[in-house]
Amino acid sequence: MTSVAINTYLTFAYLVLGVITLIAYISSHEGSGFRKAVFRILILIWIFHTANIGLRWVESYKLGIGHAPLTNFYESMIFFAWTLGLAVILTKFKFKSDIIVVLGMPLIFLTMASTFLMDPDIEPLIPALQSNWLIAHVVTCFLGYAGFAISFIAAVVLIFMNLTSTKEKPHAKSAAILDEIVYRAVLAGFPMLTIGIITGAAWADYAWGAYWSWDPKETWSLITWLIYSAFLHARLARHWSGLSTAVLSVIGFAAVLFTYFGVNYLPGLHSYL
Amino acid sequence: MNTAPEVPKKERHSKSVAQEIIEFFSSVRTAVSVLFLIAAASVIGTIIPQGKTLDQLSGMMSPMILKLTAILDLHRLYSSWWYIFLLLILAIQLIACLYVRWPKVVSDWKRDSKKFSFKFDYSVDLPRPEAEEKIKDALKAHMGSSPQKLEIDGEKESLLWIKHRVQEIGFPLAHIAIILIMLGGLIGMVYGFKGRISLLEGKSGNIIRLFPAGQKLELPFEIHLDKFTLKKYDTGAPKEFRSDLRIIENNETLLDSYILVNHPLTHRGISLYQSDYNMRGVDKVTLSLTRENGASKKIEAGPGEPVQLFDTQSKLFLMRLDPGGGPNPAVLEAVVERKGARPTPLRLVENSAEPVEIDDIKIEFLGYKPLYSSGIQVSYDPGTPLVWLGCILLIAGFLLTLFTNHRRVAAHVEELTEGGASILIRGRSKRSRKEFREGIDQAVKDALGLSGT
Repeated sequence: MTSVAINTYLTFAYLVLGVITLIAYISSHEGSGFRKAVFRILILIWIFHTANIGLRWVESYKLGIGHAPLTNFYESMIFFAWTLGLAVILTKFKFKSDIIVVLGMPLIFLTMASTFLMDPDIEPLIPALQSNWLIAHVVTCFLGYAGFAISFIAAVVLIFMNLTSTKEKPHAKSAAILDEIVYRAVLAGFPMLTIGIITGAAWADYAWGAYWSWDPKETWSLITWLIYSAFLHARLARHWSGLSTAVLSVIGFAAVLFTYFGVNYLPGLHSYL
Repeated sequence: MNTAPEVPKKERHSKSVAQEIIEFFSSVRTAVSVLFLIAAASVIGTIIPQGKTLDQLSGMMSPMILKLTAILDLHRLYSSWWYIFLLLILAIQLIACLYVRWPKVVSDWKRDSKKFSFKFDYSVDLPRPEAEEKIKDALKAHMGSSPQKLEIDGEKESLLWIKHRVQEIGFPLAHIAIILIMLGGLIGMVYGFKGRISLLEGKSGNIIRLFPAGQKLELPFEIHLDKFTLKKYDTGAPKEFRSDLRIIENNETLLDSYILVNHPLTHRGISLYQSDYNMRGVDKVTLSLTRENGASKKIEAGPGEPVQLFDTQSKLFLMRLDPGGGPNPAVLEAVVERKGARPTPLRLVENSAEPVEIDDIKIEFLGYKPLYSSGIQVSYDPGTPLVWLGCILLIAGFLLTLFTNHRRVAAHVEELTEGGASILIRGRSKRSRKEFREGIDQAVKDALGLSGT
C-alpha cells in the first residue's frame, strides 16, 4: 500500500475517532475509562501517521528523487496535521484538558481531508528547494503554527465561556486552565516561529542573496510574529489574561492562516507552498 | 484586563521631562501599540505591489490611491521615511526598556541579592551544628550541588544555593538581538547593493545593473563564465543550474569555482548567486556522416563553420536551429553546396529514424550543445554578519528564558538561647514558583523530621 492510500485511511480514522471523542466527552465524566481509551487510540493513530510520513520519505528514495516529504502543498498539510496531533497530545498530557482533544480532532481531520483536493505525486526537487535549510524552516514553522492553533482553540472556548457564563462563573477552574493553555501554547509556538523565520532567512540568503526581500509571505510571517510578540508583552509585563489575551490569540491565528493560505493570492517569490 | 495602578498626580509633577520620556518609551503599553502599528503598516506593503514605479502602477489603481501612494511612498513602503521612523521608535523603545530594566537584572543576578519570594521559619530541638548539617545534606540533594557560604544583607551568614543564574541574561539578550538585527538591516540598506549581470558562455564582465532601477555599477573584479550547465530530471523538470566561473583581477585568475542555486560564491564580501539562464544560440552541433562504402565519422561544428563532406567538393553550412522542447525534437536547417549545382536545403531532425541522404552520404543530426547566457545575481551586504549575530542571540535568549530556571535558596541556622535551633529558609525561582517553594519546604521538613506536624 502506498503512503497516499494510507493517508486516506488515516483521514477517516481521525474523523471516526473525532466523533467518538465527542461522544465520550458528552456521555462520560472526566478521567473515565471511555475517555482514556479514546485518547490511547488517538496516540496509536498518530504513531501510524508518523510512520506513514517516514514511508513517503522512503518512497521518494525508491523513485530516485529522495527528499524529506515537506516540499509541496500535499506534503505540508499532512505534516501540519501531524504537528497538530503532536500538540493536542502534549496539551492533553500537560493540562489534562479534554476539550482541546475534542476540538483539535476536527481540525486535524479537516487538515488531512484538504489533501484530497491536492496533487499527491512525489515530485523531484527543483533547484531552489535543494537546501538543508528547507527542512529546518518547514519543521519549525509548522511546530509554531501548531502551538498557535492550540492556543486558538483554547481562546475560542474561553471567549465562548465568557459570552455565555453567568455572574457566578461556574467554570472558574476550567477557565483558569484554558487561560493557561492560551498563554503556554503561544509561549511554545513563538520561539518555533522565530527559528522558522530565521532559518527561512538563512535559506533565502543562500538561494537569492538576500536574507529578507519583503516578499508577502515573509512580511506576513513578520506580522504574525509582531502580533504574538505583542501578546507575550501584554501577558508578561502588563498581566493581561482571560478575554484580552484570548482575543489577541484569535487575531494571531487569523494572521497565521493568512500567512499560510491567503498570501498565495498575493504576488511573490514564495510560490512553492 | 488588569491596569496598572494610577500614579498619583503629585508624584508625576516631581519627575523631570527626561524621566517622563524614558518612561513613555520603556512602557509596555507603548511597545504593544508600536508592534501593532508596524504590523498594520506592513500589511499595506503586501497589498500594494512593491518595487514598481509610479508609472507602472498608474494603470492598476484609482487616482486617489495613486496620489496617496506617491505621498507616502507606498510602492516602496519598507524603505519609506515613515516606516523607517516606526522602526526607529521601536529601537528607541528597546534601548529605553533595557536601560530601565538593567538595574533589576543586575540586582537579581548578584550572589548576595536580598530578593526572595518566600520565607519559612522552623525550630528544632537539635544543637545548631547538627541542624545545619541536616539542612545542608537535604538541600544539597534537592538542589544537586554544594552550597557556598555568604553573608546576605551583610548580617546573616547563610548557606546559599544558586542554580541557572544565566537565565537572567535571556531577557536583555533577546532585546539586544532585535536591535542588532535592525542595525544590520540599516547597514545593508545604506552600504549594500544588489544587482544582476548576464554573461554569455566564454565571456567576462564586471558591470552589473542594480535593482530595481538598473543603474550601472562596476565591480572591483571581472567575472568570467566558462560554461553554463543545465541538468534535467527524466520528467523534464529542472534539476540543476550550474555556472562555472572564474574571478579575475588584473588579468590574473584568483578563483576558479562554480555556483549553483543554493550554493553561492563569495569574493571580497561580494556574493554571486545563480539566478536565471537564457539560451542565446548554438555552441556546437554534432552530426554523423556515413558513406555508402562504409566510411563514417562524427563531426562537431559551430555556427558558420562549413562542414566538409568527406573528400568530395561538397560543403554543408548550418543555417538555423529550432531547439524543440518537450516532446518535440530539435530541427536543424542546413544548406549543402556542391560544385556546379544549386545549393540544396536540408531539414535534419534530431535523432530521426530516417536520416537525410545527399549523393551517397547519409547525414544524421545527433544533437547540439546550446550557447547559454547565465544570469548571476550579485549582492553585497556588510550588515549580514550583524543580522546573523542578532538571530543567534535571539534564539539563545529564548532558550535561556524558556529552558532554564534561575532559582536560589538561602538557609540560615541560629542557636536559640533556650536550647535547640531556629532555621530561616528563604528562596525564589523564576518559573514553577509554587512547585519550587513546596519542594524546598518538603525537603527541609523531611530532613528535620517535621513532616508529620
